[in-house]
Amino acid sequence: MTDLNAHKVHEVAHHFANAGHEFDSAKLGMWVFLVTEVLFFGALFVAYAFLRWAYPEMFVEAHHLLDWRMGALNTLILITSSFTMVMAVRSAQVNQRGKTAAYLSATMVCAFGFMVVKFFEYAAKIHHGYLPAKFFTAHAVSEHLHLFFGIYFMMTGLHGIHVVVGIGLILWLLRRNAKGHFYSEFYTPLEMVGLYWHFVDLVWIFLFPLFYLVG
Amino acid sequence: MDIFIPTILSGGVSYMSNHAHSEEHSHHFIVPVRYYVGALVSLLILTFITVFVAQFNFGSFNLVVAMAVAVLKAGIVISIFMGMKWDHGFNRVAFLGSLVFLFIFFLFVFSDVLFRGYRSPLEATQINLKSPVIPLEPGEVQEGYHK
Repeated sequence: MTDLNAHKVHEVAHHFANAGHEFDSAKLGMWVFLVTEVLFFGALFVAYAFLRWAYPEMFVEAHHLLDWRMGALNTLILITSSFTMVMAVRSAQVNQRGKTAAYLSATMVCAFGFMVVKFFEYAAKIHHGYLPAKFFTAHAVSEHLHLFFGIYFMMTGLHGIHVVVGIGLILWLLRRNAKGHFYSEFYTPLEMVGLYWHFVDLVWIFLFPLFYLVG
Repeated sequence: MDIFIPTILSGGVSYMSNHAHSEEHSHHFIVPVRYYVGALVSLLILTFITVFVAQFNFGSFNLVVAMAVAVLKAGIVISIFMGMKWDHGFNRVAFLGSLVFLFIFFLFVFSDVLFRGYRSPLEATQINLKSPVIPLEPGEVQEGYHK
């Protein structure tokens, strides 16, 4: 029999002065990691801007080949998942372990929903032959259309990989939460995965209008 | 309601100070739920606005609106969901510093591509480009076309 409210008392690692020092160090490390992520995706946004500047009429043609309804649906899914994620962290801060599990599960359902929508989008593109570079086999007005699908698959694909990694991290959090690792004095992993997850949302906030809306 | 305005650039209030921690416990500021609900609702409204505006063709104004809304949404996610509104100033500097370097990235790339052909017409030429795209026949409808 285990007491559902019992939690494992967190021990501060010996190289930190106290729990606050430990938490702040982890958080700074996470922000710095997100800096590298900004520059990682930033390079692709620079490439996008260049292609768009070089072939504006091709982007107008390409934008009609993406379904904005799918993109909008995925935007709503990710925004909702950011909310459930932040509520999962908050529930741990107020010692509500059951709610943390529920909100984490909701976040994961959203993440899977996002990937399912993405799967149907990718399947249609692959079916029509809208693929990057030499794999492009479709008919089009602009002879540069394959460049669009190069940057489209690269950016949304890398973003999708981030979502899949997020699913793995949330599973890990659910497992640790079930073991009672998180409570008001220790929720560092929840907070850090939360920051990562919101960053994934952040990237999509820019990808959605740039690929689906602005043509 | 002031909570909808991203405070990251105005240097929001820090509710928890590095020195405020007691010896044994860290007392984190627990954000009231209304901030998170407010952020969620405003993000949904902004998504609706950006989709709505995209149904009309305003030329280059569409890009301006879409990017303005995206930046506003990003501000809300960063300040409320990522909690930067209540975070240490140092974390703020670290993250927002990346945007400065991203700007330099754009600056250097576009200071090149915008002035191709300025010194020699050869700079602006594309040579031996091969395209796998099959030209569209007159009257042919593209596969997977969405209005």
